[in-house]
Amino acid sequence: MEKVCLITTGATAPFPELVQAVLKPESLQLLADNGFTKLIFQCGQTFKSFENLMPTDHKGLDIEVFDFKADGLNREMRMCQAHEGIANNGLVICHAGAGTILDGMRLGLSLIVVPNDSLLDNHQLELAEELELQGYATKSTTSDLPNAIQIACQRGQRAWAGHNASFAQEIDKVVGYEDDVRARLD
Amino acid sequence: MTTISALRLMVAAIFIVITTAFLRLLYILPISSTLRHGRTIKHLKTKLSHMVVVLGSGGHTAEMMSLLRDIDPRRYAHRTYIVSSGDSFSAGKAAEIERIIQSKHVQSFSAPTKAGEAHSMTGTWDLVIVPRARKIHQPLYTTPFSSLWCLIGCLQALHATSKASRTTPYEYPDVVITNGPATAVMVILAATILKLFAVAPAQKMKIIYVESWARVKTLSLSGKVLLWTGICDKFLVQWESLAKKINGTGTRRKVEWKGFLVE
Repeated sequence: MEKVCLITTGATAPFPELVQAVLKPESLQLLADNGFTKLIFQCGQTFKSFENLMPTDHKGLDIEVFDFKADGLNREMRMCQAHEGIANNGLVICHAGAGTILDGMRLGLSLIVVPNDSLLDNHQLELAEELELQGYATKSTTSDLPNAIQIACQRGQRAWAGHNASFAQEIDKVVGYEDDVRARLD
Repeated sequence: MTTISALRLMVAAIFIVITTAFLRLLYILPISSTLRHGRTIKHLKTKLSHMVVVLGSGGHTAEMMSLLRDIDPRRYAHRTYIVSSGDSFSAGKAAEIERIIQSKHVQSFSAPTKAGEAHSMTGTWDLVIVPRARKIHQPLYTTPFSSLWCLIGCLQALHATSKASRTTPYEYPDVVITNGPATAVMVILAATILKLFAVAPAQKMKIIYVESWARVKTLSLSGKVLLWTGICDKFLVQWESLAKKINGTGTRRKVEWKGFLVE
């Protein structure tokens, strides 16, 4: 059975620390122990120096690397999903970009979110903290990644279906379409 | 004697202008209109509407695609997308948003209609380009001028789009929707100016702002500015923690929380 882990650093800022943290022998060993067979790296500018970061011992894991995909990571994300008889539920390790996290949550994937310390944008950190709090993802740091891998593999992902609201209905209320707006006398 | 009375006349005139402007502003702001009517104007189910969507920068545009996923194009039969000049990414995404909207309402759907084309089921859509408020690496001291240029562009765009309206010819759009790029603040400012000077009726161009899903505990700059001015008819946030933090314990709710609006 296959089990895929996608590691993505996003397209905007380089995040070599995340790639390094995953390639540490300790992390690789944990991934192998948890039944992973393949790692896919989307690593942006770090692609150029990836060869140097690569350890000699892969712990038996297949490793695929690229810098960017113009049409997004949908295909790679889907490879992390469980497929009957072919693959077990995988894992996504990503920076705290909202787009990537949303894509992962939509597909019901286990997520480890690692905010990029070098960005002075603390709303990404806040997002990661709230996701952790509500059980949608595991928040981690580059140094604590092995621990997070262990936790994420054990607890699985909280589905977020039923939590959504329709924006179209909100527009209808403002524009004044009656069928969606129950007359409410304040 | 004559100089003094001229001065008095001037002062009196200025006072009248300021008072009138203030009263007019009070009249058009969302808070007073809800007090007056108790609720908003009702539309018949069959009435067609014209919506304006402000797009801009990658993340905002991607989120807007998800927000607009279940818009009924038979109801919002004219959809105008505003993008800033040079943002070809968002311009391309407008067509993709249309693909999502139209595909749910056309049998054996193959491709969305092109901008400006009319369709019996999905109405029409178009794209309007306005100047950028601030270019990347633009020196700070020239920003006021480029912002003013952008504002004028937005005023022109809204005026032009009212004339081109397919659903309500020669009327201003019914609703303006945005989720926070810098251009959005300028479009909303332009809409408010048009209402202030009664160029557009006060019940047109209702303003809806949706804070980004990425904002958990603090508002973005655009969000802060728009909340502070109080010119939005509906201000939505997507995290309960953020709504609680802004609304506090008071009875008046400044922002609304309905859950995740993105999918």
